[in-house]
Amino acid sequence: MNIKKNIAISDSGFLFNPSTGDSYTLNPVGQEILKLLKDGNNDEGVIEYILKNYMTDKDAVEKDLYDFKNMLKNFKLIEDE
Amino acid sequence: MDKKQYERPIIKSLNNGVMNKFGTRNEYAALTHIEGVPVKSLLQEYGSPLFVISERKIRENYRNAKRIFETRYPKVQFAWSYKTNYLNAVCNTFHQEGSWAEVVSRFEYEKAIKNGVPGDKILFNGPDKTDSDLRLSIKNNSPIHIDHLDELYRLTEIATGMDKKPRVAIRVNMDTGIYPMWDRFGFNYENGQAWDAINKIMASGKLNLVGLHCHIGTFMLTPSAYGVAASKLSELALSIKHQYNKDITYLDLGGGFASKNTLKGSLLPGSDSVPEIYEYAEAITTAILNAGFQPDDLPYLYLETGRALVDDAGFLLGSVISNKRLSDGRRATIMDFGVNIMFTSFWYDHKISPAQEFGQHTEDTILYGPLCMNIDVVRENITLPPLKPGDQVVVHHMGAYNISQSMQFISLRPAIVMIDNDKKVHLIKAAETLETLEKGEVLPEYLKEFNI
Amino acid sequence: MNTNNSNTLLKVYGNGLLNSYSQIFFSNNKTFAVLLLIISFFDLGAGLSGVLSVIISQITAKLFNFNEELIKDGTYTYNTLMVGIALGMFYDFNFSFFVILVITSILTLFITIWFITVLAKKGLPFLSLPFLFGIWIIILGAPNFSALQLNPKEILSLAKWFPELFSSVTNSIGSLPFADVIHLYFRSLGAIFFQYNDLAGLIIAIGILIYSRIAFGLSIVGFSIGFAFYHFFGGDFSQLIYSYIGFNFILTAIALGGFFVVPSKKSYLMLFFIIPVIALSISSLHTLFSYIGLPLYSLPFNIITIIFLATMATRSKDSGITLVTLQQFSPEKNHYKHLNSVNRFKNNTYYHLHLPVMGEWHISQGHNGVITHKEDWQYAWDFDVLDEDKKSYQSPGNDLKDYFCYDLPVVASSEGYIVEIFDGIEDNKINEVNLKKNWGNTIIIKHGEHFYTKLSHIKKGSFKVKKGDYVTKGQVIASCGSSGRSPEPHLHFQLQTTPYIDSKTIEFPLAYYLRKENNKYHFHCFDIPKENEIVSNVKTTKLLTEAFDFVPGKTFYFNYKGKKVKWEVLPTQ
Repeated sequence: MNIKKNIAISDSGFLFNPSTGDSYTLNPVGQEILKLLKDGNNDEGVIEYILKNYMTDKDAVEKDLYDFKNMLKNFKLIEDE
Repeated sequence: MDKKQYERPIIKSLNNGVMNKFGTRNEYAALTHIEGVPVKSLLQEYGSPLFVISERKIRENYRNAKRIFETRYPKVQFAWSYKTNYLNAVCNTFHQEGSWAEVVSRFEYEKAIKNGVPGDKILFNGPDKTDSDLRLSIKNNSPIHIDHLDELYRLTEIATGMDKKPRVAIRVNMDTGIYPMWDRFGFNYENGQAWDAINKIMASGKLNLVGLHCHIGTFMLTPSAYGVAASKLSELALSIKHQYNKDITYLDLGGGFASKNTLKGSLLPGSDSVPEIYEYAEAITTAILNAGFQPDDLPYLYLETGRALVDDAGFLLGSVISNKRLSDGRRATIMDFGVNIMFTSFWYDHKISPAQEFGQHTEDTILYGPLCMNIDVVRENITLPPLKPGDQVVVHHMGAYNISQSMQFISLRPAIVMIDNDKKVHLIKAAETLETLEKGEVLPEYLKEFNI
Repeated sequence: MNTNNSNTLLKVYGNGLLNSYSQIFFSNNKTFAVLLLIISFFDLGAGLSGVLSVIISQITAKLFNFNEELIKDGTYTYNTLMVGIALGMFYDFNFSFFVILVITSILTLFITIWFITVLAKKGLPFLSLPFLFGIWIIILGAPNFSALQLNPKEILSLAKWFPELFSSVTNSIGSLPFADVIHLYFRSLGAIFFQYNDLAGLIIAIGILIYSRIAFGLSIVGFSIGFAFYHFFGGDFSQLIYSYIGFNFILTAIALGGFFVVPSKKSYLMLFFIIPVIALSISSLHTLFSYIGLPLYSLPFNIITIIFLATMATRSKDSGITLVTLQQFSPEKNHYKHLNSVNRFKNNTYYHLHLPVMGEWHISQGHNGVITHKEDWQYAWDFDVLDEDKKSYQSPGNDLKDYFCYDLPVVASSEGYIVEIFDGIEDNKINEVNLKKNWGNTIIIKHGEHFYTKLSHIKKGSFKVKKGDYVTKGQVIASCGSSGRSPEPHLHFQLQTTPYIDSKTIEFPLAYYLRKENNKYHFHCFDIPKENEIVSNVKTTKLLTEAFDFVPGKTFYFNYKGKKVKWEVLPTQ
């Protein structure tokens, strides 16, 4: 699953979808994950990175990542492959 | 390398043009301490959920209200409305501050007596008073506020057999210019019922009419309605003086002042939009002072304020059970407290603060309670930072009615603590156990055995 | 029923008998009375005829239905007692004696009652005048009836039987310094009972000390002054010794030092002038009466005391010598009662002013306050309202409405007429002052001639009355504001003798108010609230004010710890 190519992401966490005109905000963790996904990381890679850099456990990250991706899907920011 | 503080990833949509109703940041500033005592330690020691009452705030509210009324009218007396909060610790705090008691049922009456309130300082309201209740009140010299004609007749009969003359008031309902008008309680002013009842009392000679009572509504947002009520009661009192040369000792304006809770559907939060106490005071006191009483005949002003004095002195602490993502994408968080102990959530949108610090990102959430009933919704829409299971929150303005109207349904009722003026914590009601629930239950013998 | 009657009879007449003894010394102390009774029996004849004469008078008084209270408190009979004792002391018991005794007792009773009607109207006591008249009549009149044989007898039967008792006292006193004076003192004391010996005097002195320290002190002070006067001015001591007439000093001192006059430093000082007058009158009357052939006894004391009391009663102001209005039969009680009533019963002296506000207010500046209450305006009060944390506003305090006292009702301090209203001045913003119109919006009320109250810094347009209106005490007249020299909302209140906005203030107390300290209320009457006090008016209910109005003629019945207590309200003199 990949972020749609035309989505604009700023460094301060703002997301803009030019095709729909909607904008979104991301919290720091969300920003990082989105960047990782955009860079082509898969789920395991993302989880590994988060665990390495944040104080949390695997279960929580897995759950949250699943949830996060669903949100992205909901907002139609991810294109199914 | 130092790991960073983790927060679940959030993406939030910013819809153009529509302002978030609950957008003020204050709504969800973290509240980690209540009266200097850490929320975390309270929940740890007494379990979750937990009602917390601030004694300091009760006394501050009472003294404030007393000052506001007493600087506008020479003779004021508050009577604590027991049904708002039954806890003896709360009731006695009010009594210590000088408040009388106002009760609407036999068990409340007995509670007041047990707490040590002198009989003549208990105002007995309500439509349900048995003969035994009336007899007890007469014996104790408690003012009886008569609600309907049947009660008047019964009382007159009972009084004939007793050596004490009962002190009574009648409850009057009237058109104060607001909707809805509560006309189910008391005698109506406009159609002459009230005057009729007064005449009956004076004619019987068996009852001592000492006061006039009204309670025009609840969570009143228009202070001027009280002014109208006070004027009409004053008119009745003056007519009684004129006709019977009898001085009415007091006018009881009941309760109904609004607290700082936010009514569902209101545009602004309660703390910004409900009237201040002094507005009610101005309306009532000016009405009575201008009514035409002789300076020496001014009646006492009794007030049965409940909610406005105790709501913001009570908090409910709770914990997050779990999170859910609903089918339409909305976030839902399930708390360990629900409508079972937050009855007032049916008409208020309570302010809820997280009890731990958090980042700046928030989500629109719907809060559910722990019951497996569909109506158990604490807040339909609230903006909160991301919460995970075990996170704790503080619900504000919980002091009125929630405790007295708690259900023993699915969840047992939680413990209640009071923090005193020296910031010490007192357990004023222990959490209920299965034993508490089953007390009084009798299982017939033939049902004890079964084979499955 | 019978026992009840005899019980009350015993009470009335028994008390009457005992009180007759103590009343001679201005007391109703029963112990003292018993001691005196005993002393009177030092001579059996005297003691017996004393008791008899009292009984005869009591029976007479009862038969003629005279006031039972006055029988009971000994008023009717103490003079008869003295006559009885005197007669019994000097004459033998025989038939003539009894006739004379009966006649004299009844005579003295009627003379007593006559004196009561004549003197009591003027508020004066009759002291021992009836005794003097009674005994003189007998002394002068009886000898003319030859059939009446009054035989003088030997005095003091008891001394004959127990001489050691008497001599031992005399001897032990003799060993003390100033023995002469002490002898004289005791014997003068005893002389009041016609007992010219030290023992009687000693017992009487002890008795006086028992019933009142002050009276005892006065007896010594009075006697000493009299003695000193005689000593330093070379008086003829034989007069003092002859019949121990010095007891006049003692009786006068007690009467005017603490019985009819409230004991105080001034009353004691006054004795320094009065006792010498007694001394002089003793001397002059002695000469006069020796011509007539009558004993002087207590005549000087009677004359001087009554003249003094009559003249003192004509004054309009006290000047420190206060006549006792309600006799407590104890100089101590007279003293305390007086102090008490001076503090409590000022209510006839002043106009009754109350606080011009409702509820509890704080005196932010009092009389002679440093900020603005100086010189001509020193007797004024500034009021505001504080919360539990002693703040006069709720945060942030930038707005007039944040201040608790802003817009609160201001009431009339007492009934009167509105004489002036100044309106139209805007309330200042917080911390700004209007120095051009110093007082701001103001109202002046006239309560009486040369008596006005003024309230200032009123909120513009908030006056509920107009010039010329009559207002009652506690009537709302305006709202508290912040106009004039007022950086934050407050109320200025002062009293003045002229109706102008800048009149000088006068010092005057408020009638009744409560002061709150540490959550306790203290009651003040006719006092001046001080800076920083939290004060409020007393709340009254019609029921209580009408019940406790203490109208003369009203009777109260109380149930106190199971006992019935009755109070009667009597009109003051």
